[in-house]
Amino acid sequence: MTTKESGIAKASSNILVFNVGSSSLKYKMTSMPSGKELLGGEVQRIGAKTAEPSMIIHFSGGRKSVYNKKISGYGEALTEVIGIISSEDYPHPDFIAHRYVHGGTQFRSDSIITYDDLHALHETEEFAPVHNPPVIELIRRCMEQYPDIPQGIILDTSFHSTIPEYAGSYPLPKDLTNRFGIRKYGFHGISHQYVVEEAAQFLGIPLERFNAVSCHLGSGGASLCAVVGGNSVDNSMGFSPLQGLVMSTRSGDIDPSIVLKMIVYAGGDHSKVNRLLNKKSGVLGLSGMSSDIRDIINMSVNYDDERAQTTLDVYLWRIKKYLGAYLAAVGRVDAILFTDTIGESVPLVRETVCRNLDFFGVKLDEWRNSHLSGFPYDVSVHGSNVRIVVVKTDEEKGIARRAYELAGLGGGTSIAESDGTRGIPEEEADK
Amino acid sequence: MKRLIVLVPEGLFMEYFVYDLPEIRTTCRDCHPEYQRGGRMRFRGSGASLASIKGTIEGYSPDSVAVRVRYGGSRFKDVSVYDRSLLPELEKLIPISPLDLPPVIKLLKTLDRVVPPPQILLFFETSFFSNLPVQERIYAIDGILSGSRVPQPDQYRKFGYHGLYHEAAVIGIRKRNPDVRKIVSICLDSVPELAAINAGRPVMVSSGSTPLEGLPGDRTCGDIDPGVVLFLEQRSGPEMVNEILTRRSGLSAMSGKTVTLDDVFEDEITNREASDLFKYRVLLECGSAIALMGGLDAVVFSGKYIQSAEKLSGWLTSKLSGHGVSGSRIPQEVPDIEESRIPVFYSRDPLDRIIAERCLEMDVSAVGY
Repeated sequence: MTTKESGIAKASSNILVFNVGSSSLKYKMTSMPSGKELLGGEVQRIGAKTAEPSMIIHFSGGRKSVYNKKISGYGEALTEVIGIISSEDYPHPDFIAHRYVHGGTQFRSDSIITYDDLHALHETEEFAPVHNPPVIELIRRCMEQYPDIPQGIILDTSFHSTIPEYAGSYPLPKDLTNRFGIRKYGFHGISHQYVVEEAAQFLGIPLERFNAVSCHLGSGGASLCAVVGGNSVDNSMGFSPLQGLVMSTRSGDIDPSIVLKMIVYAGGDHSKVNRLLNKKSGVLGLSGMSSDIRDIINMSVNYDDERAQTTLDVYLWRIKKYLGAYLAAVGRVDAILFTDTIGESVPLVRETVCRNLDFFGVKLDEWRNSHLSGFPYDVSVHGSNVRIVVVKTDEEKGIARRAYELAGLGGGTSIAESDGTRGIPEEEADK
Repeated sequence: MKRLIVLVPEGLFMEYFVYDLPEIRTTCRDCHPEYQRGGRMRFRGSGASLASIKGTIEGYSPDSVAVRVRYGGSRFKDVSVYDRSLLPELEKLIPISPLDLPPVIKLLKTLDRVVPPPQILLFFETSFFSNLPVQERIYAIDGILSGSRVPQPDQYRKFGYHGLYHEAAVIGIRKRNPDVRKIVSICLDSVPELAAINAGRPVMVSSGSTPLEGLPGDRTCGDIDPGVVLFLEQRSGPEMVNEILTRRSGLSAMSGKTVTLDDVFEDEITNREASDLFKYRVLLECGSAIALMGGLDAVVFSGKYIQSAEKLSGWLTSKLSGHGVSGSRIPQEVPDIEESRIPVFYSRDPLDRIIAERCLEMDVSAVGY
């Protein structure tokens, strides 16, 4: 079904956006093209082993409601969200858009999704084993709940299509990289792109001249992005979201030989190792107590817990390594940007990773860093060559814009209609 | 005069170098292919080749034999004087270093039978990195697979694999320039390695649990997404993936033919993809090192591909000098061009000479007797 056939390309459309994180589900309904937010919220700590229970924070009409509830999976989270949305007199969505982390080789750009596409979506699970399966589950549930409303996936990798070959290639045999599409795709592109645009505007620097290192530090996933002239030139995540920083349950960088050894130790059980590296490593694997770095900070600072301290040290060390790497790679840097749950709300993280970066012209103002008043907020000292800006990300707004474009184009191709590459042809998607 | 033989096992062969200490004279690397003061022997073969090694060494009647060993784990934190009691400890490390340690152990058993018996010294490449900061050396995994054999703790920690080069390079600089503290040391080898060394202590190294992690080598992949390993393993199995990552990747894969790092920098136009990728990876590692040390006082190059260092260093320092600051010593000033130049050193000593000099400093006759 095309969007024109579905009739959603009307003057004003309500786009309901779902954004699945490693342990969260954000949602927002936006009226497009005005961008007016109708409702929104977040289900936090879904199924995660954390010190605090799951909760739903819901916003509408300037009101905030908080629901504490044990939520063990994304299907359950969706049921709760639908219950909330339906219980109030909200307008119905015209289009449902899902952030989709990695479309593999099957989906190269934003696409309309129908029942016929679900099988192909399942084939992409291995590209992002933490994110893709719950999104597919969510899409299926939405199809049951809203059978007449078209849905689409908005890819997280588009922003990183400008990564140059020398940064995006892996030095592996070309017959393999070409056959399987093995290269750095990068992730969190929707967020990085959004905060880069916001920061450039905030600092009064034309986007095409804006150089930055963007630090998307979520409570689940996290990545750094090197930006030159407003474009991504590198991202700490790679072919999959497993590469890079230490995350809540993902290992981040490890020696490739360790992965092979693990598979041998696991008796060849590939899925066991996959699960271990994606769901039982990172902050959880190191600490043994929680996957949320805020719990670890609490245990370290307030209870002097040695294992928590080591976990925190490793977490921060890895961010600093990538920050230094990308500061060197970018060269003339206008700003370091911090965003998402941890980047926005944990001053200790910003302070520690920006400490002793005088070489790069980075100087953080400790008082400003611990006394944010609004977003964006500059926490660098006066005279710092590199500004340090905390920017509130709004991936859902970015997704809504792109979803509206997807729907408005009317050419979003379902797999049922396509015998080749799924999605809108790249030249069209670039428009 | 004390006669020393330095043994450097390397793949299928072992090079040996003869020194008459205290003289540190030109050795076979400069005399190649004649090997006037040393030679090259088949190593991996059993029986005959070990007998040949024994005969050669006995022919020189050395007072001491120094053996370069790639891996010593957390157990061997310094140069060790060999005796048979060390064998079980070395054998325990074989699961972590299955390719390098077994032939070394065979060699040591052979040296045990040399008449008259020389003093045997073991120089471990990993010793220099045995005290890496915990946040650098551990991985964010819990290290235990339920229902499986529990690996040794050293299995999942980082080591450096060119500690002898790095240590010698840094000591050399700091002897002449004691104020130089924050050093990026780059060893250009078939499996290259970059280390951050602050006040003589390593704080970061690009290699990992094995030399596979880090910078791409002649044929080794270097850093790649662990997800790629899982992806390939599911299709090809662990043995094939190991073969791909350790023998079919790296600069050679980028160039589409078998090349060395020297080949790449000798002809950067033909090997542009490999050159661009390698330089970029070095720049990233440098940036990390500078951030972790809180500045940069000097860069030093070493290793067997030292001739590539000049091309790489020009590019690298131009990138780093772009920040307009020379290092941590004058953080708030924008120095003039000359001041802002980051000193670059070249440590050209080959590995055997590094080991010989260490032996001389240690006064080998005083060790172990």
